[in-house]
Amino acid sequence: MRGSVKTQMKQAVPSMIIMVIMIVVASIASDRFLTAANLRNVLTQTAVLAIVSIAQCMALFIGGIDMSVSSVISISTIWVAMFSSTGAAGLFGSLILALIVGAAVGLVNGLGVVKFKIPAMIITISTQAFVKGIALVLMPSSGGKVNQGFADFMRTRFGIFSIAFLTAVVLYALLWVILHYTGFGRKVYAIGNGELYAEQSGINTKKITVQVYVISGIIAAVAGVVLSARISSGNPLVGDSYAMDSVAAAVIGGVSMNGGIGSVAGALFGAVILSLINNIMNSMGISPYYQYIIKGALLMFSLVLFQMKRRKAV
Amino acid sequence: MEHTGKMILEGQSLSKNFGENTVLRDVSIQCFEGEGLALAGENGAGKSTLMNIISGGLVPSSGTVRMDGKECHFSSSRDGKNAGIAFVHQELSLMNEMTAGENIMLGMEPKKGRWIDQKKLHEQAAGVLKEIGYEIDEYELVKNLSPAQRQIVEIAKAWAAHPRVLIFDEPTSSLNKAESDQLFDFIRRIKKQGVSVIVISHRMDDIFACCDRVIVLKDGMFVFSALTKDTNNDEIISKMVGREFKNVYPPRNEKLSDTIKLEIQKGCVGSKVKDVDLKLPKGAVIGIGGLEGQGQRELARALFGIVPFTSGVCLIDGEQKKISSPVDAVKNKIAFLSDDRKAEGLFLDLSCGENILSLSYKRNSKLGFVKKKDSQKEIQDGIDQLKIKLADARQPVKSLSGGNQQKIVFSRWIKTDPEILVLHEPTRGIDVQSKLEIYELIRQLTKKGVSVIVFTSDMLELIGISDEIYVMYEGRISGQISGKDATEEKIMQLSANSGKGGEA
Amino acid sequence: MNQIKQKLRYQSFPLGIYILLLATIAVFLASTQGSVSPSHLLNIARTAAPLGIAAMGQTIVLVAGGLDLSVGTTMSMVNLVTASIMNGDGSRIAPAVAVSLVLCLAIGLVNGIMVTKFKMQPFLVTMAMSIIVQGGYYLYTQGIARGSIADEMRFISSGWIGIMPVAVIIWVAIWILLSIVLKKTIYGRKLYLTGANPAASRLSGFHADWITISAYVLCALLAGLAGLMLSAYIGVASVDIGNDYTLNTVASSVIGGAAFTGGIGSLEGTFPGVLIMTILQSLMTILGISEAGKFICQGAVIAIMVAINQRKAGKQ
Repeated sequence: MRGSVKTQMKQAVPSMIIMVIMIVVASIASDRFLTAANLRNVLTQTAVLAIVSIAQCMALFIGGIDMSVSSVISISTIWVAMFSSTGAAGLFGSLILALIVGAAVGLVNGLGVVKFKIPAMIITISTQAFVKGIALVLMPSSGGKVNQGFADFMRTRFGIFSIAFLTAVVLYALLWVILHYTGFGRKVYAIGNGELYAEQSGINTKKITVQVYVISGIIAAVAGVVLSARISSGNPLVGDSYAMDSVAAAVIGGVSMNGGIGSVAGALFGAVILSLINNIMNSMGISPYYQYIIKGALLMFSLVLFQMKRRKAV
Repeated sequence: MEHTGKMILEGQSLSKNFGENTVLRDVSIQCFEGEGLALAGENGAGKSTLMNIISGGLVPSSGTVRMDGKECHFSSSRDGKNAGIAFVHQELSLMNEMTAGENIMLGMEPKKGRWIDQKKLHEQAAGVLKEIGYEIDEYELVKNLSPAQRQIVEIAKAWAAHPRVLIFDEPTSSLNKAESDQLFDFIRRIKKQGVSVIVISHRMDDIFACCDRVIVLKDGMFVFSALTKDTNNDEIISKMVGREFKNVYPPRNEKLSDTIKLEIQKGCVGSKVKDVDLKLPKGAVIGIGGLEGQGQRELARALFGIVPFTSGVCLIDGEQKKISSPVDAVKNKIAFLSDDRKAEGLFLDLSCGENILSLSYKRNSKLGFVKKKDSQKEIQDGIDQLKIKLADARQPVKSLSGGNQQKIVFSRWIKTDPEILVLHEPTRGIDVQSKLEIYELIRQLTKKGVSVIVFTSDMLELIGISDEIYVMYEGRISGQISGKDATEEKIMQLSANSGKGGEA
Repeated sequence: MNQIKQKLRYQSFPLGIYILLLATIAVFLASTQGSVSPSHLLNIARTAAPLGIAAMGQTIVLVAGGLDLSVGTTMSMVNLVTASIMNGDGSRIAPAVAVSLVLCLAIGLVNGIMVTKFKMQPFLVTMAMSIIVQGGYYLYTQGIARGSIADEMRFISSGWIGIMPVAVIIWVAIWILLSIVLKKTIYGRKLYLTGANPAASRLSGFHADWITISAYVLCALLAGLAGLMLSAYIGVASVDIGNDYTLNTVASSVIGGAAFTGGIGSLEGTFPGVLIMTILQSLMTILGISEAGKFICQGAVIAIMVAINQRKAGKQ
């Protein structure tokens, strides 16, 4: 691995170290931690956050942000819960509908940024609120029923891995290759390094920007579909925490909010770390309320760490 | 005019306005196959604007661009690039976090199947670099490269697409002599292959080393064109300046005051400024010149406390002072004009009035409340005093032309009644009329006893405005000449540190 | 004619938003078909007071070039802390309020210092802060809200003086005071300058960092006041009660013309912005789609207003 792939991967190293330390400490502190059941549990819980973190990464790489992922997740669970229990046709229809809606939200975000010059955070917060409203119209509170076969399929185990987690892994592998080894990925990083420069280098920055938000929307929809299988129902608010958690996962994983720096690999570690916090506290019998404080503190700590490192490099 | 070869690129009656500010007026330009065309002119003459229009970076307000006789409507540099026009910008447009090779091959990555072949990519990049005649590790990250190396990578990036027209904007500004010569070799070689080269430069050496024809722009207008073999340095310079430059500057002080306002002894800033000794007499203008990047910027910023001196002594009125932040500097009646007006000098989104008033609230307030009448008078005074052209004091400052913006920066600082004025590129990118008014203003201020230090890369300005000139080379003062005796040659010698003369 | 045009072109008063407010009121009255009395409108204004106060803080931070996403959880925290200390006892109002505001002060200081001294993005810092504050009050309450607000304090939300609700009087008083501070004082002007260009502000010899920090502190204190007002309104402790306010404050400020680039925005704009948001939400409640409608109009309003503002800025 040479070239910029190596540098981008380096950004993920601190989060990997944190993750390993957490695993070591947890397995020493609690004998319940290193059981197959618990590990499978952690990984399955990680799956949704891990997938949505990819979406967030895409937006962060071009120097943007996507806060609408949370509502896209929620509304995706609703589609699946509303239509999938009628049979195979309903299931596939609902999955496709979820992806199309995700793409549409992404398209609105992208066009808002490119055509109307609305800052990414604002347009995605707007679509977040808007889509959340639609979700609440469709399903005012948790309900519906997810196709049992689909839910069982996503829960199928291979050792400590569930299909849900494997979906995340496959998506990571795919996006990793796309971002680091295709012209599209190169352009994404180039835009993050400097949009004007990228434009001068002959890149159609507007097109790529819109594409990135569309992909981000689709991936968030996938996350929603995976989540629906886990909760077996639709819920208009279930995605809410994922907007901020996905940003946190990416930042902890070394992705810069200024764009152009980081790798999706880091976001995966970040997502695992966030899930581990929860799990470790449970297995050590600590009040789960500490997890918020630890999450926030870890985020601040990563921020300071990367900020200092990058400032030194300049 | 005599031409050889066929015409590739033509711009007809191109004009460009930014708001009410016209930066290019009815300029036509032709470029022939295998020709080296030099575009000369002072800062702000419209050279870069013209080239940005030709290459698609800007859309002209009127006029057309033709390529091979066909009209082109470029809406972005991408269109220009696709049409075979590559532009090597002066402000480098490289991706810091990518390798040199990846930058060079951006958008043209070789693929193995569907995926980018990193190995082949870097091999090809190395090939391009070799073609140009330089050796740079293609795997090195751009952020680790020196300015000269980045310039080369930028050139390689443009050349990698094998354009038919290659435009350079001040290509040698960060290159040393040997590197420049290598670049000229490269340019002569590609001309033979039929590539047209346009070089924007105000360095005569560049123009004569690699160009066949020269066009001079002044104040956004076409003023002169000739084959380089039929013209010479002096003629081009006189066309660029368009007047006897000596007349432009107000008269100097007859005699410098004996009172020293500011003195720096053995001032150092990290490794960028070394043992600088400087004496600023009261009411005098000291000019600091030299090639770009010889520590002038660091020295200017140290004087104002932005990046303070790491060692050395600073005396103001004979008293030792420590200026470790802009807050200290303002307390000591020092004013500072940054070279980056937009980023550091102005509050672009706010109104002109707000900008003018921004440093004189104290005087126009009572118990922390700003007095409306007084402040409006203060603003109007500022506008009148510097003849700032604006429609309404409430209009945002970003809607003004560069010259008027700079006057607003001056205005706000003058209102602090400074005793020492540190000016960093005070006339960069502004029109000639405003320039003259600013020179006049500087002299008026010195008559009132204000002491001025001007950092400028414009040689004529340096000679014209200064009572005393210091030249910097590699962080040190390489020489000092009085303004009266200064000539371009003497200063060039000191800038390249080749002269022994001039040491005071 | 031209002169009037000129005058209007550069006037800073956000006239358009007031017209929009009138239009919103007209739509509201029309769609409720006269079943709404003026006192009903005042009542809506009364419920808008907590948002109104918190949104002023958000506007100040936006003007200073920042963003505060910890407003909502700060309000929730104040609610829980005040209610538990007070526990319905009027004699403990003072310590309850004091403790709450000191906590707010600390939150604002940390936000400001992290943003300026460590040069970190306001978005991330305040988001992390929001998570920490939330964790803090979960730990403090163990997830169960305890306590209630003393009747004496409930007066600030439920009381009326003559025909005006006390809450509205307090809100308007703070609004006028802060508007004067922003418009007329050196501090206020420097806030705008620093927000518009921190680098230029630093090079002007201002204590730019402290100006920015003060904006975060002000915002946190205003969020604290808003939290107190909200507590007085609902009367009991309730977990996460204020969290929705974060987005609402941003929306109100943005409707009022505040931009995310700093240096742009005004409290004269935020005031009608808050009212527009609140009336729209009341309208949704009347139409029977309260929760969903709230979000839909929030999203649509923010996007449209920012798009309009961007277009206007682009033209100039």
